[in-house]
Amino acid sequence: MAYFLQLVFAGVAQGCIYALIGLGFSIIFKASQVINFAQGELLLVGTYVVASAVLNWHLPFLLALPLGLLVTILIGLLFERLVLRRMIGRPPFTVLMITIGLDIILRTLVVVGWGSRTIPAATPFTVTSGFNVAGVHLGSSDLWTIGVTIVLCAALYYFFRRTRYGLAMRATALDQEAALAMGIDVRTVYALAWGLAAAITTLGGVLLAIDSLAIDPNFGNAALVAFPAIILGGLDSVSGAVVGGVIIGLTSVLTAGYESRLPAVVGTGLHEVTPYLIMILILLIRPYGLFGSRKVERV
Amino acid sequence: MVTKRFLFACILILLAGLPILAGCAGSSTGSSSGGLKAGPGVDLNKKTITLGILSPYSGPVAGPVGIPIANGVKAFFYHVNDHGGINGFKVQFVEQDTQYSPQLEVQKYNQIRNQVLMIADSLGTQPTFAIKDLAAADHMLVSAATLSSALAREKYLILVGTPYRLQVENAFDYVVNKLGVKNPATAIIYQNDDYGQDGLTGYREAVSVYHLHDVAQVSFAVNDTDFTAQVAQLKASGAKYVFMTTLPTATATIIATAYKLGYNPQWILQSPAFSIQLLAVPALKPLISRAWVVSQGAAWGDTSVPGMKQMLEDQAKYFPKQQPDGYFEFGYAESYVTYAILKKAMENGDLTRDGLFRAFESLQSVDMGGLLPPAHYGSTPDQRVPTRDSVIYQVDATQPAGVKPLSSDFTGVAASQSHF
Repeated sequence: MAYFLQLVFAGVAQGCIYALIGLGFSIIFKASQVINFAQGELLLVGTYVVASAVLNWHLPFLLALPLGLLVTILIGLLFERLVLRRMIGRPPFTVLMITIGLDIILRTLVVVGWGSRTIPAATPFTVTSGFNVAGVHLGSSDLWTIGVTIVLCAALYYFFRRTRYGLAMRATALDQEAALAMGIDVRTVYALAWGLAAAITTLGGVLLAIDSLAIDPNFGNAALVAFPAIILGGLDSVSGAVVGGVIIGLTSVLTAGYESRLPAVVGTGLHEVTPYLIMILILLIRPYGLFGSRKVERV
Repeated sequence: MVTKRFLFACILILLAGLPILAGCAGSSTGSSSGGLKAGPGVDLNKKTITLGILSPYSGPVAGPVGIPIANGVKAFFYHVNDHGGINGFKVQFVEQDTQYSPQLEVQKYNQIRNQVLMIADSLGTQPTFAIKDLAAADHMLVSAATLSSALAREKYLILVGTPYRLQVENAFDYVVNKLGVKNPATAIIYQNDDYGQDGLTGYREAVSVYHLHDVAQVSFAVNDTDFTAQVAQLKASGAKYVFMTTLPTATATIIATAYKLGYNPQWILQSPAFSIQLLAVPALKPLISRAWVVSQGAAWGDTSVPGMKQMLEDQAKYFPKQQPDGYFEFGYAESYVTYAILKKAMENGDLTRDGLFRAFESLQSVDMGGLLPPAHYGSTPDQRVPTRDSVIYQVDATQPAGVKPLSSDFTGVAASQSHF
């Protein structure tokens, strides 16, 4: 039983990481109908900045973290201001290709700036910090990951429901022209979405790096694993990203924990495909994902 | 008025002429002078031999592996050139950036195939496999910087060093025959790709030969970031010795996760699983210091072996910014074999590709200045495995290369019997 519970705890924590990364995708898509393929590299840059701030510039972790967030927010805002703003009204495919370009540029910058080698990640915890309950180790970093995700989700819920800019973002997502007609500054909404998404994704990356202890330029690939989570939850749904993340995290870790008990021909590497199998299954039943909005068109 | 028939005739003439033009492009083949036959990449007038390097010079693999190995190869031949070359012939390189991509490797190979006599360095199992059939068709020898045992089956690929598969077998020979542990509870954790499969093959052979009590074989995906499930499996299995066919970042996370879960077996790392950079991770340093690494060859700076002093001098002279690095050493050692082939072919008066191949097959043994143990070559797959020995190292942060030897150089029973 302890074995199962250990896997469940790890799966939920892993799912929260996917949820945070997935939230970044969802917020940008919700505001601008763009899938940002540079999300993984924003995470990479933020994690490297935090690591450098702690290990090279000897800043405390609690100062390094806002610095990392600030850098990625600035990248997000600059990209939105200098590139995407000029692309308003252009086909989504063009914008998508531009985000792939940004992805390559950011990764190259990391390799040029820090090199390709494995470097230590910044962590405020010792490896063993946490406590044991009934044979299950509840690590500090995992507990923090779960806690941060819950608090952030609550804050986002409040932001989208109760604040002026949150409502403006939702209105823009629903109908850009109507939002403009109502006096909403769509450009500010886009900028806000990019800044917010960059910050949340970076936070996910830093929490993931705490557990990894070491990072390399492939670290941004973590965003690829979060991708089935947001498709499954519904690309334009913030709550869908969270639920999708936790489902993918849990199934992936539980499958990895039990796949060796299956015949080798089925079991080997099963956890690698499970997230995608679940995604396909759910999309067959609900093509817009669990919480995605179904588009209705008049004919 | 140009008729369709006339155009058609022109196209036919052009098509018929293409093979002739292609022949002109590779016209360096087959020339001879002073009794020396020369193939592509050999200029008898300028007395130069051009070799190819297909290596990642950009992308994540470039800095830690691609560039240091290429630097090692170049440093070796710069020294040769500065000391008169090979019988007066200077070696020069055509270098191409493959970015560790099999597709780019093929593209770059095709770009340089008519300009070079042989490939002095092709990095990576998958990229090298992508060009193996092309190289065979061109009779092009390729010195491959990878330890994949499957390479031994390819007659135009040159392997340098003990394959991954035999590293695993030697590690468990050390446990059973050197330490005297009978029927140890063992496991392997491996990444699910060609590299991991090579480790797994060796592990299964070791289980059979050494009567290991195999309790778990656990895989993970290259993109996995959480290893709790895999480590929980290892812990539940009760494995006392866990072999890791991983890369450094995964090594760090796996060992840290195990420690978090209160699991502390004897970790045994495949050579690419370790990087001295891991010792720079403060939280990891005390955890990884118990681990063993299976590798071979002289540690950086060990001037008790004859080739080390020369290598360090060449590194300081030609690549002064190069940090102590096992991959630079590998590239330098790899070049002893290339040099021996060229030298032998020169003595035979045949610097064509077929001449090089014959020279390679007749080498039998190449001394690598002690940087790696002497390599032995022959014509069958078993004989193309150059070395079968390993050294077991303990991770030690006080050493320049981060490891100190626990054993001498040895070849275990399983490794000496293993067939390819």
